[in-house]
Amino acid sequence: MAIESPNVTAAVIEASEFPELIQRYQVRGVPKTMINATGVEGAVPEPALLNRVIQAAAGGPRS
Amino acid sequence: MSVLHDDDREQLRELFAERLTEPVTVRLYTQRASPLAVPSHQCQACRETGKLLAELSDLSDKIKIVTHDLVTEAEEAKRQGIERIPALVFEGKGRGKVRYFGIPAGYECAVLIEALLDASRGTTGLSPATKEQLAKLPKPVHLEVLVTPT
Repeated sequence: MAIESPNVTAAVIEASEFPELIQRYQVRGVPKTMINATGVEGAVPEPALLNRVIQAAAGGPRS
Repeated sequence: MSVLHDDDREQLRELFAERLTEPVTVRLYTQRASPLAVPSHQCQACRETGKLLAELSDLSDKIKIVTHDLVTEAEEAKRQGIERIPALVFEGKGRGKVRYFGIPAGYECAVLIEALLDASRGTTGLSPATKEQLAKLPKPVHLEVLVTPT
């Protein structure tokens, strides 16, 4: 999505190397996707992720 | 000892020849080797990641690796949003920014390869409907996917 849109930035994070993030994002399972500050656990299908991205861009919570 | 297996190396060489159509630059944020070895300040994953990238770039002249130091190039790292290492930033024809934190080991290596290919071409396998919606986003969105090596 970041490759397709100048308004999207994306990062993959290898969680076991950065334990402080596991705490900060309250990761209980992987993959865990954070959209701005909102988390979803488990694999997210493309349409569902797109919906969340659109919501976030429309002014959802941002930290 | 090399990180990639010989079989994988040949497969990747073919894959890159076929699908890596545009140049791609990977910026690796790491720490320079210090003459003074302090175990708690050593980034073991950085060394491994550097080796993996060097081996991948040997397989295609379209892949360029630029190594940065998190400490001595702190200003640039901050601009790129890098605060932990190892970190990779992919630069090609892609529009937004794609980064990878940690070592892309095991299955995650496939994610690294996909990121290389997509960043190079600036296009992905997302559906046309998704691409259309993404192009219309009014505000920035930051995605982070936390994974573990498998």
